[in-house]
Amino acid sequence: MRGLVAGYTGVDYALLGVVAVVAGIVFYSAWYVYDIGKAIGGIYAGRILAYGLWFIGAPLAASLIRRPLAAFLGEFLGALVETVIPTVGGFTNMIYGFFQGLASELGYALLGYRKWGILAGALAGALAAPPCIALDAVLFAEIYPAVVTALLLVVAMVSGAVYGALAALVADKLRWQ
Amino acid sequence: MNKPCVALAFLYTLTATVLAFLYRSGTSLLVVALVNALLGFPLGFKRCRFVFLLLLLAIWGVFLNSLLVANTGEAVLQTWFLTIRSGVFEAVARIGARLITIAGAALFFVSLYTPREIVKGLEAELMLPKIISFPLAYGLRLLPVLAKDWNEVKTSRKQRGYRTVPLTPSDIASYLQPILSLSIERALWTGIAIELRGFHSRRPRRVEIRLSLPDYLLVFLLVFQLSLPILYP
Repeated sequence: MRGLVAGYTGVDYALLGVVAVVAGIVFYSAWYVYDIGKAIGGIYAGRILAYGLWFIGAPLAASLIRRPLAAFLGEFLGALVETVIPTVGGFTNMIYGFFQGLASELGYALLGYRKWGILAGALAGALAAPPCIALDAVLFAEIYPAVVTALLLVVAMVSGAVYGALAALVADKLRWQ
Repeated sequence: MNKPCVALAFLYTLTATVLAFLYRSGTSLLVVALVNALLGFPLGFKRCRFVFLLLLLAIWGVFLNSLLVANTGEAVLQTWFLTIRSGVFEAVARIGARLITIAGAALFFVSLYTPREIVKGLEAELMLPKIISFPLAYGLRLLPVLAKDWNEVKTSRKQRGYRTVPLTPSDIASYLQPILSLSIERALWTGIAIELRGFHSRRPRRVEIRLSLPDYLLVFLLVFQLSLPILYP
């Protein structure tokens, strides 16, 4: 890790702080979106509305900083801020943030750390869904029949891709302002 | 007030969270939930009331979920359109206890310390790397600054006769655009300033952990919770 972050400047550290707090606030608000969505529209509505919001830390940080490991750090630091705020998820947020961050980082790694645009953001957002659904099953015993699980995964990936693309678009606009 | 050290409280909260998932059901899970609720809820009630609202919403969501996937066993409650079976109540009790444990432990940790104490403690006692501790500290410091920026945009909108509650995407954009632009501008100058002060050559300060009475009490609580499967096999 030390080698990967060796090229980070003070500005990158501070930008990570900005992403952490913005992502933390979005993650915190997503709890309300998820709980209200789930209570009114059931499991699919809750997930399509909120899950992507929980994945935006990675594309936001990566599109803004454009360095290896930025996606992982953006998602994980956002989850840390969400833990400190705090929410009902408590320390589980950190566990989710860690694995979702790694999965999103994989997206940028697959693209050779050369593409940081909207499509890369969508890919990073979508890739965060599988670990999230897996953790839902392992931690919260949200185990459904195979068809329902597959549908939930698709819904979470679509939500992640949409919000991921949006986060990358916002970061891109801010970067060139 | 004499408080346990941050590293120990962090490890306690992390372990309690893990225990909430390891103890799948039964007395052990209920005792862990009770201990953490008693520890965290009184401390967090004043500062984090919204967590209780979220907890209620989450338990309602769990109930709806259980109706969908766990409505099995003996019929317990019958209404004209729905029969609620024992499986639903068991699932709500199990997942509810888990949520209460997680929320209680988290409330205990965050209510006991200020964000600054948490970051300093984690860096000095748990040797958190600079790439985590600096952005975390900076981000938490930004929270009140962002709140101030938000209020300034709100005042400007009010003076121009626009609504202050952001409802449409255009409203949200008019709030977010200046706040994010300002934050990035600030980050740029903060980054330059810390580089000029030799941030890269700075080594995090480490301190040795010295245990006091609250630390021993916390260790006792942790050992008690860890030994629950032996007490209640």
